[in-house]
Amino acid sequence: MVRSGGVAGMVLTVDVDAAELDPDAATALTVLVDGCDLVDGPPSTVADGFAYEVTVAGDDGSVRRARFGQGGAPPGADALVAWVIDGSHGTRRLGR
Amino acid sequence: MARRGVSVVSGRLTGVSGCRCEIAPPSLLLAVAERGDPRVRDAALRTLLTSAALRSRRSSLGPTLRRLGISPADVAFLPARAPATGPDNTVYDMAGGDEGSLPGRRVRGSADAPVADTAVNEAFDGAASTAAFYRDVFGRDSIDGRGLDLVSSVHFGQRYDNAFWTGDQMVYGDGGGGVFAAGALTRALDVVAHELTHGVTQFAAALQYRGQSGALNESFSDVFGSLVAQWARGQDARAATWLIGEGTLEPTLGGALRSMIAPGTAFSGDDQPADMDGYADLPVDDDPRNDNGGVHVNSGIPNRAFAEAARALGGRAWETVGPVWYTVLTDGRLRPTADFAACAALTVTVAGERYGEGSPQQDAVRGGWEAVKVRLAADPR
Ligand SMILES: [Zn+2]
Repeated sequence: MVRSGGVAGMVLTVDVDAAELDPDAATALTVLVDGCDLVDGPPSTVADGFAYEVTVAGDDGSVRRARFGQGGAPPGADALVAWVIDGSHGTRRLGR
Repeated sequence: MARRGVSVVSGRLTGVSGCRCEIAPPSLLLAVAERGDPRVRDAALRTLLTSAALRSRRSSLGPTLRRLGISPADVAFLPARAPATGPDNTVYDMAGGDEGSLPGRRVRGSADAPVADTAVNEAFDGAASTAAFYRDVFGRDSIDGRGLDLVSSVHFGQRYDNAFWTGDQMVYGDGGGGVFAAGALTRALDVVAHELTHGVTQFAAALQYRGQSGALNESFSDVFGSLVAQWARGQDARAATWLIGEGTLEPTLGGALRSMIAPGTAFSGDDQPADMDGYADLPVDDDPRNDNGGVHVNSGIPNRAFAEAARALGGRAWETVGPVWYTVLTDGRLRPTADFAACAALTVTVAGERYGEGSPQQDAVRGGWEAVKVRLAADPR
């Protein structure tokens, strides 16, 4: 998951591998991903709004990706973003 | 927008009469007045016209009144100028809600004493200081130049690491989400003023938020964000740190969001170029990594041009180079698609008009752009 923009203008990338999560967290993530409509949404209309990219790579080799702006998340994406960005799972990196 | 409009209608018109416009920014009522069914529309319009909050804004009603078939003479009872009391300043509490519940619950108005919630008081004071700066230094009547009321909503989202201007109001998250220190977004006056200046730019040069015009948009917000903070401290340009958002980040990330005098040094991973040799030619697309063509990246270049000019002159930057940048932003010559070269040329022209051709001030402005390697027309001397 990539989040950029905001007043800080930083690019934050968070990678979460479900295989490395404890069972409860892996289940929570699976539910959130299944409940997320991974389609593009409109970009942010405000200066310093966040821009997001969500990429889900499945075990079967499938890759789905959605890009959208703050306030323009497709159904379910806000919850998934909050779990990944606010949570303590995975690895996070600042930079382009 | 529609959702916000609907909530405003129910909030305004249910068992409420003759009340002031305290629930939502007047622009939301304008939307209702334009789009609602006739009964709702008339009620919203009546509320608008009797609203104390709108008395300062007759001029901004023009287009809506025309669409509704009302002549300006019908509202001549509204004063053209803002009352001496200035724009209202109101803070709302979002209690963790998101865009759908803006502006939130009203918790402090213009005449109210401070409340127990620090974020509320900081948002209130930051908006008041920024408006006072634009009024006292440049004679500007609020964000739009026409007395626009100041509306701020705090506690947006959960541990939300951002503050932003929606187009008619300020919104602050609490921070604490891994990038900003908790509470930092309302605490830093330069961050508050940065966001409110996005509003000034919206009503003035309306610089497009992409590529070089977007980087200029970002830079004007940093320039005036920094100037508001320097003005509030009474600080000399040579004493200023020229850091934006100093102390707002999680300490492990670094000391500030941006350095205007030394772009690229504010935090670990800061990739702002310090001059055109390092210009990041990022595409304007929907990839978040590209930041609308590098609006927060290349803004370091015009930022440094300003800071170098102000430092060269010394003294109060809001009285030396600040007025040049303000004139460029607001007097109509800077186009919405302006690039760095166009903005640079205009600052040199305006410095010449204000201080004289060949004046030390014009030389300093020229020197600022030369330091960042933005090409200027040859000096005629
Ligand atoms: Zn900005």
